[in-house]
Amino acid sequence: MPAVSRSKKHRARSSSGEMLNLTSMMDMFTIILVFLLKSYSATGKLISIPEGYTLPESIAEEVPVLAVNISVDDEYIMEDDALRIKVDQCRTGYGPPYIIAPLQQVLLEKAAKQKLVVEKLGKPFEGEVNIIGDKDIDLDLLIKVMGTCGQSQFGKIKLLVSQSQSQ
Amino acid sequence: MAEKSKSQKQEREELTLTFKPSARRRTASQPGELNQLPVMNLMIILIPVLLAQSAAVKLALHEVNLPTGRGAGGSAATEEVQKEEEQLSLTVNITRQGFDIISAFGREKTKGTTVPLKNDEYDYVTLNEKLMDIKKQIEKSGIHFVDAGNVIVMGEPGIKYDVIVHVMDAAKWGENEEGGRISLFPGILLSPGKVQVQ
Repeated sequence: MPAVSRSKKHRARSSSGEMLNLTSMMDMFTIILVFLLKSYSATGKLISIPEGYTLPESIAEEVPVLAVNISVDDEYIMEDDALRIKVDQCRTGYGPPYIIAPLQQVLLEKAAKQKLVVEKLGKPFEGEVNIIGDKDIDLDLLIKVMGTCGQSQFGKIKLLVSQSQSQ
Repeated sequence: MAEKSKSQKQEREELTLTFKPSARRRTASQPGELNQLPVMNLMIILIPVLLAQSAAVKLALHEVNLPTGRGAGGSAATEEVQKEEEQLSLTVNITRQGFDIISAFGREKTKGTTVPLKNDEYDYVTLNEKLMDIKKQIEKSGIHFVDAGNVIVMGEPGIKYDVIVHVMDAAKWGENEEGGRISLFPGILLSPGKVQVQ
């Protein structure tokens, strides 16, 4: 009896081309897929960090929001895709004035546009801005960028940092 | 003997009854096996795509305010009210020698600065401890400071952004005895070093 059944099994297996049982693997993949979808964060899409930037690490937990993004590193100041200024050209040493004129111009235009849109939606203009700074920029440059934002109706300034795993 | 054959007959009847429906089920279920390969293919594509798209670095935001007295939005437009009440004016000054902490309680000094460098690096842990002490001091004193939740962070020219963010971390949050996170001075005013703070 067992000999017969073994030969039957063998014949059946060889006829179907040795199919792998994929059910357990499917289970595994389904779990991984669900987990990935759950932990999928869209913040990377909202805020794109320019290449070559290293954000400072922080224990801050506030979730990034969509706002006007200003990227600053040692060489350039960028405002989304609209502006690219060389730092050397807009800064003459440390200290006042704390305004970067080309950046202010772009920001004022942006503020005017945003106000129009926001008014139509019936919401107040928040004036939110995210500053994406490379960790090696100095305080003086950061304050000048912040000062410019403040003078261009963008008073809600937030610094983008990368969340550290420790602590 | 007759009894035996009767029971055998009964058995056979039972067998045929129980056998037939199950046999039908078996024949019906066999061809219906799913071909899982396309689903597997989909999974194998979906998982790497999701992995690649999910942000490797988790981002966060640090809220900051502009320097006081510069007339620039934020929370700093209430100077007149502040003058009438007690002010803490807590300031962390970042220098090349370390951190200077100045507040209404005075200024503590060790080797010229409140928190000197440790092995040529900024000592954020001690800074955090000192600020927690100040927070406790405020609670003990019972004085109602208008700017009890604020700290002015300023630095010498050339201080790096990285250092500032770490100082902000140390100023915003502390740890209680259970290891939980407590809020120290959430209102951070970033100021250039040359502005005089009185």
